Amino acid sequence: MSEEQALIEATLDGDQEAFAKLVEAYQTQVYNLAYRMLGNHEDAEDAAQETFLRAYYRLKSYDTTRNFLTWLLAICSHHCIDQLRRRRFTRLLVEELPPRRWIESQEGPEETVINRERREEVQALLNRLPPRYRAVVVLRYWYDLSYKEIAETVGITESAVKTRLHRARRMLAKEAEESVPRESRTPRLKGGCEDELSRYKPSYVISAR
Amino acid sequence: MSCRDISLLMSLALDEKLSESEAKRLELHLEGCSACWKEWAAMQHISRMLSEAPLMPSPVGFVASVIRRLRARQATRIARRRILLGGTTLLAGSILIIAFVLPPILDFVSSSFELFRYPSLLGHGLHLLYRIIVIASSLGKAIWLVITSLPSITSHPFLLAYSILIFALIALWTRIVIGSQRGYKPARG
Repeated sequence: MSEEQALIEATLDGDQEAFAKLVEAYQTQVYNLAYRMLGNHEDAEDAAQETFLRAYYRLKSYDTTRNFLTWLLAICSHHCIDQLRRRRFTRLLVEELPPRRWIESQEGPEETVINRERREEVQALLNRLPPRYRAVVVLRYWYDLSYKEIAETVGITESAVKTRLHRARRMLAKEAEESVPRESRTPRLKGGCEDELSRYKPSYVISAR
Repeated sequence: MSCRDISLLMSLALDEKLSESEAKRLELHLEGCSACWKEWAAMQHISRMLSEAPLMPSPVGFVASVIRRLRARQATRIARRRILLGGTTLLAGSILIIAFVLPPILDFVSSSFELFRYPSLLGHGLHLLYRIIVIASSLGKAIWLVITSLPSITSHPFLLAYSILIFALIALWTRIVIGSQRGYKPARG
């Protein structure tokens, strides 16, 4: 039995220290998914905590043949999508936009300005995606999950994953194109992408499918 | 192949899911279509940006907060179940009392008023004892009647099925109530 399995068994027997170890092992991944989905630290922390609580109560139904992290991420992404729907509904009710809290930084001085700027830039882009597309993109890029794993996590088919990723990328590409100043857009992009294409070419081909 | 189909190939290319022929098709199309070329460049730019974005550390004291919240929620759940169980027991008890206990008691009390007509304490005592024996024997008779009537149930299939259903429901309810209480273990530490 693996250490993770032993911790799960112990948690099922009511050992909260074992559960604390599981939380410790997966907190970063769950928190980051929540942050990418919700766009601010406060909500992300709350959602990540809620994910672990739900996992604790649903642990009996956890299928041990599945990857534990993907199982946790599934709970987290569903919770975040619900939160975003609720938030949109509330926004419709009060007819005002929520404060752009993702700009706030809660990191200490160790986080470099460049890192923070990059994170905010990425987050601002993600925030424009509909929740169900956002989940797929985050799971693909930050967790490097395969189409099959994403499908299992979000609860859709593999072809739906393919479609959602495609649509999300199109939307993001459009946003990125629009954010580049018009006069500098064409030459900069063209010059950049030629390099990119020649560098990238060999790796996007797979021999057999 | 339309630009829209090509766009899907671009997305697949970013996930390294293209066959050689598809890759060739993408390459040929990109050479002759500036709009798609722009989209491809933008998609790659986005893709690079996303894959380079760093993971953040989780907040300080996260594990402790989760455990604290878990304990608080457990306490609330236990309290809620206790209230539910207590309420159910109270209700069931009240029904039982009303149905089985109250009539004989009322009967006993109303007949006890006759005691005051007897002049001696011994008379009172004897009469009281007599009433208790009567109630006990009628209870015994009732139980005996239930037991002896059980075999005759088998000759009435509907009655038998109904009895089995009632027993099954009682067993299920008992299991749920006891299980929900056992499922909670006190928090350690």
